[in-house]
Amino acid sequence: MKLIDRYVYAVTRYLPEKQKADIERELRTLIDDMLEENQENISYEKKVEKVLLELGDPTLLADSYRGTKRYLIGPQNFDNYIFILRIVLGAVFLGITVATVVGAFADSSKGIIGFVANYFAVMISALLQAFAWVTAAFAIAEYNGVDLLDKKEEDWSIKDLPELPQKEAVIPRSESIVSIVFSTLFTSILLFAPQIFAAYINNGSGSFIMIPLFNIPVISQYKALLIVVFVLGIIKELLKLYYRRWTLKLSIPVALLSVALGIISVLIFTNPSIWNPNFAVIMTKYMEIDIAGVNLWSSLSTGLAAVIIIATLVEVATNVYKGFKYDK
Amino acid sequence: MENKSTEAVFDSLVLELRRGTIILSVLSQLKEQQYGYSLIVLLQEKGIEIDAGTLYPLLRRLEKQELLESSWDVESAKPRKYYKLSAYGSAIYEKLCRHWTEMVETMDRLINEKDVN
Repeated sequence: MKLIDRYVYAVTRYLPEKQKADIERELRTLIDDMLEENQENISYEKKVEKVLLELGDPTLLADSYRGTKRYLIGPQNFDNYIFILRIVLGAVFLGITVATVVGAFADSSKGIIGFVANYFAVMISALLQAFAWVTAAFAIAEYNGVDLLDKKEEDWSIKDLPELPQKEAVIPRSESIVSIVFSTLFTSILLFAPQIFAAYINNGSGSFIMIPLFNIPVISQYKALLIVVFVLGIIKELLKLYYRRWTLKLSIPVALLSVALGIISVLIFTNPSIWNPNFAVIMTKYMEIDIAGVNLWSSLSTGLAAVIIIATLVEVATNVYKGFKYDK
Repeated sequence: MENKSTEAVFDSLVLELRRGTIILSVLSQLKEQQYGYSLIVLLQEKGIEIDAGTLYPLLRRLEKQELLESSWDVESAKPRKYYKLSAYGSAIYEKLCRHWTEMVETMDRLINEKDVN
Protein backbone atom coordinates (compact mmCIF):
# COMPACT_ATOMS: atom_id res chain seq x y z
CA MET A 1 0.00 0.00 0.00
CA LYS A 2 1.55 3.19 -1.23
CA LEU A 3 0.12 5.44 1.49
CA ILE A 4 1.68 3.29 4.24
CA ASP A 5 5.03 3.32 2.45
CA ARG A 6 4.88 7.07 2.20
CA TYR A 7 4.02 7.45 5.89
CA VAL A 8 6.81 5.12 7.01
CA TYR A 9 9.22 6.97 4.75
CA ALA A 10 8.13 10.33 6.17
CA VAL A 11 8.81 9.12 9.71
CA THR A 12 12.13 7.39 9.11
CA ARG A 13 13.86 9.47 6.48
CA TYR A 14 15.77 11.75 8.85
CA LEU A 15 16.35 9.22 11.61
CA PRO A 16 19.84 7.86 12.29
CA GLU A 17 20.77 5.05 9.90
CA LYS A 18 21.24 2.56 12.74
CA GLN A 19 17.66 2.74 13.99
CA LYS A 20 15.96 3.17 10.66
CA ALA A 21 15.38 -0.48 9.70
CA ASP A 22 14.27 -1.42 13.20
CA ILE A 23 11.78 1.42 13.51
CA GLU A 24 10.47 0.82 10.02
CA ARG A 25 9.76 -2.85 10.74
CA GLU A 26 8.06 -2.04 14.01
CA LEU A 27 5.99 0.72 12.49
CA ARG A 28 4.73 -1.48 9.66
CA THR A 29 3.60 -4.20 12.06
CA LEU A 30 1.91 -1.58 14.21
CA ILE A 31 -0.03 -0.17 11.27
CA ASP A 32 -1.01 -3.68 10.30
CA ASP A 33 -2.23 -4.46 13.81
CA MET A 34 -4.22 -1.26 13.96
CA LEU A 35 -5.82 -2.07 10.59
CA GLU A 36 -6.87 -5.52 11.78
CA GLU A 37 -8.34 -4.06 14.92
CA ASN A 38 -10.66 -1.86 12.89
CA GLN A 39 -13.79 -3.93 12.14
CA GLU A 40 -15.84 -1.08 10.69
CA ASN A 41 -17.53 -1.70 7.42
CA ILE A 42 -15.44 0.68 5.34
CA SER A 43 -12.98 0.22 2.50
CA TYR A 44 -9.37 -0.73 3.14
CA GLU A 45 -8.19 2.66 1.88
CA LYS A 46 -10.41 4.49 4.34
CA LYS A 47 -9.12 2.29 7.15
CA VAL A 48 -5.52 3.09 6.24
CA GLU A 49 -6.30 6.79 6.23
CA LYS A 50 -7.91 6.53 9.66
CA VAL A 51 -4.97 4.64 11.12
CA LEU A 52 -2.41 7.09 9.74
CA LEU A 53 -4.43 10.04 11.05
CA GLU A 54 -4.50 8.38 14.44
CA LEU A 55 -0.72 8.00 14.40
CA GLY A 56 -0.50 11.69 13.65
CA ASP A 57 2.03 14.02 12.09
CA PRO A 58 5.03 11.92 10.94
CA THR A 59 7.51 14.69 11.74
CA LEU A 60 6.29 14.78 15.36
CA LEU A 61 6.58 11.01 15.56
CA ALA A 62 10.10 11.22 14.16
CA ASP A 63 10.92 13.89 16.76
CA SER A 64 9.86 11.68 19.61
CA TYR A 65 11.82 8.75 18.19
CA ARG A 66 14.87 10.98 18.00
CA GLY A 67 14.34 12.15 21.57
CA THR A 68 15.79 15.61 21.05
CA LYS A 69 14.77 18.51 18.93
CA ARG A 70 17.21 19.76 16.39
CA TYR A 71 17.86 23.42 15.79
CA LEU A 72 19.67 25.39 13.17
CA ILE A 73 19.97 28.09 15.81
CA GLY A 74 18.88 27.02 19.26
CA PRO A 75 16.92 29.01 21.82
CA GLN A 76 20.08 29.82 23.82
CA ASN A 77 21.65 31.53 20.80
CA PHE A 78 18.59 32.99 19.17
CA ASP A 79 18.65 36.36 20.95
CA ASN A 80 22.28 36.91 20.02
CA TYR A 81 21.52 35.84 16.47
CA ILE A 82 18.80 38.45 16.09
CA PHE A 83 21.03 41.05 17.73
CA ILE A 84 23.94 40.43 15.34
CA LEU A 85 21.67 40.11 12.34
CA ARG A 86 20.28 43.58 13.05
CA ILE A 87 23.74 45.11 13.27
CA VAL A 88 25.03 43.39 10.16
CA LEU A 89 21.98 44.06 8.01
CA GLY A 90 21.95 47.66 9.22
CA ALA A 91 25.61 48.07 8.34
CA VAL A 92 25.13 46.50 4.90
CA PHE A 93 22.21 48.80 4.25
CA LEU A 94 24.31 51.78 5.27
CA GLY A 95 27.33 50.57 3.31
CA ILE A 96 25.47 50.02 0.06
CA THR A 97 23.61 53.30 0.41
CA VAL A 98 26.80 55.27 1.00
CA ALA A 99 28.53 53.43 -1.82
CA THR A 100 25.71 54.12 -4.26
CA VAL A 101 25.33 57.79 -3.37
CA VAL A 102 29.05 58.42 -3.61
CA GLY A 103 29.08 56.48 -6.88
CA ALA A 104 26.23 58.59 -8.23
CA PHE A 105 28.09 61.82 -7.51
CA ALA A 106 31.24 60.50 -9.08
CA ASP A 107 29.71 59.11 -12.22
CA SER A 108 26.42 60.57 -13.41
CA SER A 109 26.45 58.81 -16.78
CA LYS A 110 23.89 56.15 -15.81
CA GLY A 111 21.06 58.57 -15.01
CA ILE A 112 18.72 58.42 -12.06
CA ILE A 113 16.80 55.33 -13.15
CA GLY A 114 19.94 53.36 -13.79
CA PHE A 115 21.26 54.21 -10.36
CA VAL A 116 18.03 53.38 -8.56
CA ALA A 117 17.79 50.03 -10.35
CA ASN A 118 21.41 49.28 -9.60
CA TYR A 119 20.92 50.33 -5.98
CA PHE A 120 18.05 47.90 -5.43
CA ALA A 121 19.74 45.04 -7.24
CA VAL A 122 22.95 45.42 -5.26
CA MET A 123 21.08 46.01 -2.02
CA ILE A 124 18.97 42.86 -2.30
CA SER A 125 21.92 40.72 -3.22
CA ALA A 126 24.07 42.17 -0.43
CA LEU A 127 21.36 41.82 2.23
CA LEU A 128 20.70 38.22 1.21
CA GLN A 129 24.38 37.39 1.35
CA ALA A 130 24.84 39.06 4.73
CA PHE A 131 21.84 37.16 6.06
CA ALA A 132 23.15 33.87 4.72
CA TRP A 133 26.65 34.33 6.14
CA VAL A 134 25.52 35.40 9.59
CA THR A 135 23.12 32.46 9.70
CA ALA A 136 25.86 30.09 8.56
CA ALA A 137 28.23 31.36 11.25
CA PHE A 138 25.58 30.80 13.93
CA ALA A 139 24.62 27.41 12.56
CA ILE A 140 28.26 26.29 12.80
CA ALA A 141 28.46 27.59 16.35
CA GLU A 142 25.22 25.80 17.21
CA TYR A 143 26.43 22.53 15.71
CA ASN A 144 29.66 22.62 17.69
CA GLY A 145 28.06 24.08 20.79
CA VAL A 146 25.64 21.22 21.13
CA ASP A 147 28.52 18.74 21.05
CA LEU A 148 30.35 20.72 23.70
CA LEU A 149 27.34 20.74 25.98
CA ASP A 150 26.93 16.98 25.70
CA LYS A 151 30.47 16.41 26.90
CA LYS A 152 30.07 18.64 29.91
CA GLU A 153 29.07 16.26 32.67
CA GLU A 154 30.77 17.66 35.72
CA ASP A 155 28.52 18.85 38.49
CA TRP A 156 28.13 22.52 38.97
CA SER A 157 29.74 23.80 42.15
CA ILE A 158 30.03 27.11 43.95
CA LYS A 159 33.53 27.50 42.52
CA ASP A 160 32.04 27.72 39.04
CA LEU A 161 30.36 31.02 39.83
CA PRO A 162 32.12 33.65 37.72
CA GLU A 163 34.22 36.24 39.53
CA LEU A 164 32.72 39.70 39.35
CA PRO A 165 34.82 41.19 36.56
CA GLN A 166 37.21 44.02 37.27
CA LYS A 167 36.25 47.11 35.37
CA GLU A 168 39.18 46.78 32.96
CA ALA A 169 38.31 43.17 32.15
CA VAL A 170 34.88 44.03 30.80
CA ILE A 171 34.65 44.21 27.04
CA PRO A 172 32.34 47.05 26.12
CA ARG A 173 29.57 45.92 23.82
CA SER A 174 30.08 49.04 21.74
CA GLU A 175 33.59 47.92 20.82
CA SER A 176 32.27 44.84 19.07
CA ILE A 177 29.37 46.68 17.50
CA VAL A 178 31.64 49.36 16.03
CA SER A 179 33.98 46.68 14.76
CA ILE A 180 31.14 44.71 13.16
CA VAL A 181 29.69 47.85 11.54
CA PHE A 182 33.03 48.87 10.08
CA SER A 183 34.01 45.46 8.79
CA THR A 184 30.55 45.07 7.24
CA LEU A 185 30.79 48.51 5.64
CA PHE A 186 34.27 47.84 4.32
CA THR A 187 33.47 44.33 3.08
CA SER A 188 30.22 45.28 1.42
CA ILE A 189 31.84 48.17 -0.42
CA LEU A 190 34.78 46.00 -1.48
CA LEU A 191 32.45 43.29 -2.70
CA PHE A 192 29.81 45.38 -4.40
CA ALA A 193 31.30 48.77 -5.21
CA PRO A 194 35.11 48.54 -5.12
CA GLN A 195 35.31 51.43 -7.59
CA ILE A 196 34.42 53.80 -4.73
CA PHE A 197 37.86 53.43 -3.29
CA ALA A 198 39.34 55.96 -5.66
CA ALA A 199 41.08 59.25 -6.01
CA TYR A 200 38.57 61.99 -6.80
CA ILE A 201 40.02 64.76 -8.88
CA ASN A 202 38.26 67.99 -9.63
CA ASN A 203 38.73 68.51 -13.34
CA GLY A 204 37.87 72.18 -13.06
CA SER A 205 34.43 72.07 -14.65
CA GLY A 206 32.63 71.11 -11.43
CA SER A 207 32.57 67.37 -11.95
CA PHE A 208 34.96 64.80 -10.61
CA ILE A 209 37.18 62.30 -12.24
CA MET A 210 37.35 59.01 -10.37
CA ILE A 211 40.51 56.99 -10.48
CA PRO A 212 39.88 53.60 -8.89
CA LEU A 213 42.48 52.43 -6.44
CA PHE A 214 41.79 48.78 -7.14
CA ASN A 215 42.03 46.68 -10.23
CA ILE A 216 38.32 45.84 -10.26
CA PRO A 217 38.42 42.48 -12.15
CA VAL A 218 41.26 41.23 -9.95
CA ILE A 219 39.66 42.31 -6.67
CA SER A 220 36.46 40.51 -7.63
CA GLN A 221 38.43 37.28 -7.90
CA TYR A 222 39.11 37.66 -4.19
CA LYS A 223 35.43 37.63 -3.25
CA ALA A 224 35.52 34.24 -1.53
CA LEU A 225 38.58 35.17 0.52
CA LEU A 226 37.06 38.52 1.50
CA ILE A 227 33.95 36.71 2.71
CA VAL A 228 36.15 34.33 4.73
CA VAL A 229 37.82 37.34 6.37
CA PHE A 230 34.41 38.87 7.06
CA VAL A 231 32.98 35.69 8.64
CA LEU A 232 36.09 35.08 10.78
CA GLY A 233 35.92 38.68 11.95
CA ILE A 234 32.26 38.33 12.87
CA ILE A 235 32.94 35.10 14.77
CA LYS A 236 35.69 36.89 16.68
CA GLU A 237 33.34 39.69 17.70
CA LEU A 238 30.61 37.22 18.59
CA LEU A 239 32.97 35.46 20.98
CA LYS A 240 33.72 38.78 22.62
CA LEU A 241 30.03 39.66 22.83
CA TYR A 242 29.27 36.27 24.31
CA TYR A 243 31.94 36.25 27.06
CA ARG A 244 31.85 40.02 27.66
CA ARG A 245 35.04 39.92 29.72
CA TRP A 246 38.64 38.95 29.13
CA THR A 247 39.64 35.47 30.24
CA LEU A 248 42.16 33.03 28.81
CA LYS A 249 39.32 30.95 27.41
CA LEU A 250 38.34 33.95 25.30
CA SER A 251 41.68 35.54 24.51
CA ILE A 252 43.26 32.40 23.04
CA PRO A 253 40.65 31.74 20.34
CA VAL A 254 40.40 35.48 19.69
CA ALA A 255 44.19 35.67 19.27
CA LEU A 256 44.16 32.70 16.87
CA LEU A 257 41.40 34.34 14.83
CA SER A 258 43.34 37.61 14.74
CA VAL A 259 46.43 35.81 13.46
CA ALA A 260 44.40 34.02 10.78
CA LEU A 261 42.77 37.30 9.76
CA GLY A 262 46.15 39.04 9.64
CA ILE A 263 47.68 36.35 7.45
CA ILE A 264 44.78 36.32 4.99
CA SER A 265 44.69 40.12 4.82
CA VAL A 266 48.42 40.27 4.12
CA LEU A 267 47.99 37.65 1.40
CA ILE A 268 45.24 39.69 -0.25
CA PHE A 269 46.70 43.16 0.01
CA THR A 270 50.29 42.35 -0.84
CA ASN A 271 49.37 40.96 -4.23
CA PRO A 272 50.41 43.90 -6.45
CA SER A 273 47.90 42.98 -9.16
CA ILE A 274 44.89 43.97 -7.03
CA TRP A 275 45.84 47.62 -7.43
CA ASN A 276 44.93 49.63 -10.49
CA PRO A 277 48.06 49.52 -12.70
CA ASN A 278 47.15 52.77 -14.45
CA PHE A 279 46.57 54.72 -11.28
CA ALA A 280 49.95 56.45 -11.23
CA VAL A 281 49.86 57.25 -14.93
CA ILE A 282 46.41 58.84 -14.76
CA MET A 283 47.24 60.69 -11.57
CA THR A 284 50.29 62.14 -13.18
CA LYS A 285 48.25 63.26 -16.15
CA TYR A 286 45.77 65.23 -14.03
CA MET A 287 47.88 66.40 -11.18
CA GLU A 288 50.97 68.42 -11.42
CA ILE A 289 53.00 65.82 -9.59
CA ASP A 290 55.08 63.13 -11.16
CA ILE A 291 54.67 59.85 -9.37
CA ALA A 292 54.83 57.67 -12.48
CA GLY A 293 58.44 56.96 -11.88
CA VAL A 294 57.92 55.82 -8.32
CA ASN A 295 57.16 52.16 -7.91
CA LEU A 296 54.00 53.17 -6.12
CA TRP A 297 52.21 49.86 -5.61
CA SER A 298 55.06 47.72 -4.46
CA SER A 299 56.04 50.22 -1.79
CA LEU A 300 52.40 50.68 -0.81
CA SER A 301 51.95 46.92 -0.55
CA THR A 302 54.98 46.58 1.67
CA GLY A 303 53.80 49.44 3.85
CA LEU A 304 50.32 48.00 4.09
CA ALA A 305 51.64 44.57 4.98
CA ALA A 306 53.78 46.13 7.70
CA VAL A 307 50.76 48.01 9.09
CA ILE A 308 48.60 44.87 9.10
CA ILE A 309 51.32 42.78 10.76
CA ILE A 310 52.05 45.37 13.43
CA ALA A 311 48.36 45.95 14.13
CA THR A 312 47.77 42.20 14.43
CA LEU A 313 50.74 41.72 16.75
CA VAL A 314 49.66 44.60 18.98
CA GLU A 315 46.11 43.27 19.13
CA VAL A 316 47.18 39.71 19.89
CA ALA A 317 49.61 40.90 22.57
CA THR A 318 46.98 43.06 24.31
CA ASN A 319 44.35 40.33 24.17
CA VAL A 320 46.62 37.64 25.54
CA TYR A 321 47.94 40.00 28.20
CA LYS A 322 44.40 40.88 29.30
CA GLY A 323 43.44 37.21 29.18
CA PHE A 324 46.28 36.28 31.53
CA LYS A 325 45.82 39.24 33.81
CA TYR A 326 42.08 38.98 34.34
CA ASP A 327 41.67 35.21 34.12
CA LYS A 328 39.68 34.37 37.25
CA MET B 1 -15.40 31.60 24.05
CA GLU B 2 -14.35 31.85 27.67
CA ASN B 3 -15.57 28.35 28.37
CA LYS B 4 -13.65 26.94 25.48
CA SER B 5 -10.33 28.38 26.61
CA THR B 6 -10.85 27.25 30.21
CA GLU B 7 -11.45 23.80 28.85
CA ALA B 8 -8.25 23.94 26.82
CA VAL B 9 -6.26 24.98 29.87
CA PHE B 10 -7.87 22.20 31.89
CA ASP B 11 -7.11 19.64 29.21
CA SER B 12 -3.47 20.65 29.02
CA LEU B 13 -3.17 20.38 32.81
CA VAL B 14 -4.69 16.91 32.79
CA LEU B 15 -2.29 15.94 30.01
CA GLU B 16 0.62 17.13 32.10
CA LEU B 17 -0.58 15.16 35.13
CA ARG B 18 -0.97 12.05 33.05
CA ARG B 19 2.44 12.38 31.45
CA GLY B 20 4.09 11.63 34.78
CA THR B 21 2.19 8.38 35.16
CA ILE B 22 2.79 6.92 31.71
CA ILE B 23 6.16 5.36 32.46
CA LEU B 24 4.91 3.72 35.60
CA SER B 25 1.84 2.38 33.74
CA VAL B 26 4.03 0.92 31.01
CA LEU B 27 6.55 -0.65 33.37
CA SER B 28 3.75 -2.21 35.44
CA GLN B 29 2.54 -4.24 32.47
CA LEU B 30 5.87 -5.55 31.29
CA LYS B 31 6.59 -8.36 33.73
CA GLU B 32 5.40 -10.55 30.88
CA GLN B 33 6.74 -9.69 27.46
CA GLN B 34 4.51 -7.62 25.22
CA TYR B 35 4.83 -6.03 21.83
CA GLY B 36 3.83 -2.43 21.35
CA TYR B 37 0.31 -2.89 20.13
CA SER B 38 -0.62 -5.65 22.59
CA LEU B 39 0.53 -3.29 25.33
CA ILE B 40 -1.74 -0.53 24.04
CA VAL B 41 -4.69 -2.91 24.08
CA LEU B 42 -3.79 -4.23 27.52
CA LEU B 43 -3.54 -0.73 28.99
CA GLN B 44 -6.76 0.30 27.29
CA GLU B 45 -8.60 -2.62 28.92
CA LYS B 46 -7.36 -1.40 32.27
CA GLY B 47 -8.47 2.15 31.61
CA ILE B 48 -5.24 3.84 30.49
CA GLU B 49 -5.31 5.47 27.09
CA ILE B 50 -1.96 5.88 25.37
CA ASP B 51 -1.39 6.43 21.69
CA ALA B 52 1.08 4.49 19.62
CA GLY B 53 2.98 7.63 18.68
CA THR B 54 3.83 8.13 22.36
CA LEU B 55 4.30 4.51 23.39
CA TYR B 56 6.60 3.25 20.63
CA PRO B 57 9.30 5.90 21.05
CA LEU B 58 8.96 5.55 24.84
CA LEU B 59 9.59 1.79 24.69
CA ARG B 60 12.75 2.47 22.73
CA ARG B 61 13.92 5.07 25.22
CA LEU B 62 13.32 2.74 28.16
CA GLU B 63 15.23 0.04 26.32
CA LYS B 64 18.13 2.41 25.77
CA GLN B 65 18.09 3.20 29.51
CA GLU B 66 18.30 -0.57 30.05
CA LEU B 67 15.04 -0.78 31.97
CA LEU B 68 13.61 -3.02 29.24
CA GLU B 69 14.97 -5.88 27.18
CA SER B 70 13.75 -6.56 23.68
CA SER B 71 13.72 -9.44 21.26
CA TRP B 72 12.47 -9.74 17.71
CA ASP B 73 10.07 -12.53 16.88
CA VAL B 74 10.48 -13.19 13.18
CA GLU B 75 8.95 -16.69 13.20
CA SER B 76 5.34 -15.55 12.85
CA ALA B 77 3.81 -13.89 9.82
CA LYS B 78 4.46 -10.40 11.15
CA PRO B 79 7.81 -9.50 12.65
CA ARG B 80 7.22 -8.25 16.19
CA LYS B 81 9.50 -6.63 18.69
CA TYR B 82 8.79 -7.83 22.22
CA TYR B 83 9.70 -5.82 25.29
CA LYS B 84 10.07 -7.06 28.87
CA LEU B 85 11.35 -5.64 32.16
CA SER B 86 15.04 -6.33 32.70
CA ALA B 87 16.35 -7.28 36.15
CA TYR B 88 17.54 -3.71 36.55
CA GLY B 89 14.18 -2.45 35.30
CA SER B 90 12.31 -4.57 37.87
CA ALA B 91 14.39 -3.13 40.69
CA ILE B 92 13.77 0.39 39.48
CA TYR B 93 10.08 -0.35 39.08
CA GLU B 94 9.77 -1.55 42.69
CA LYS B 95 11.48 1.61 43.88
CA LEU B 96 9.26 3.81 41.72
CA CYS B 97 6.15 2.14 43.10
CA ARG B 98 7.19 2.86 46.67
CA HIS B 99 7.88 6.44 45.68
CA TRP B 100 4.50 6.67 44.00
CA THR B 101 2.62 5.42 47.05
CA GLU B 102 4.36 7.97 49.24
CA MET B 103 3.56 10.69 46.76
CA VAL B 104 -0.11 9.75 46.60
CA GLU B 105 -0.33 9.84 50.40
CA THR B 106 1.33 13.24 50.56
CA MET B 107 -0.89 14.60 47.81
CA ASP B 108 -3.99 13.24 49.48
CA ARG B 109 -3.02 15.01 52.64
CA LEU B 110 -2.41 18.24 50.73
CA ILE B 111 -5.65 18.33 48.80
CA ASN B 112 -7.81 17.17 51.70
CA GLU B 113 -6.37 19.78 54.07
CA LYS B 114 -9.37 22.06 53.62
CA ASP B 115 -11.80 19.48 55.01
CA VAL B 116 -9.81 19.20 58.22
CA ASN B 117 -9.95 22.91 58.95
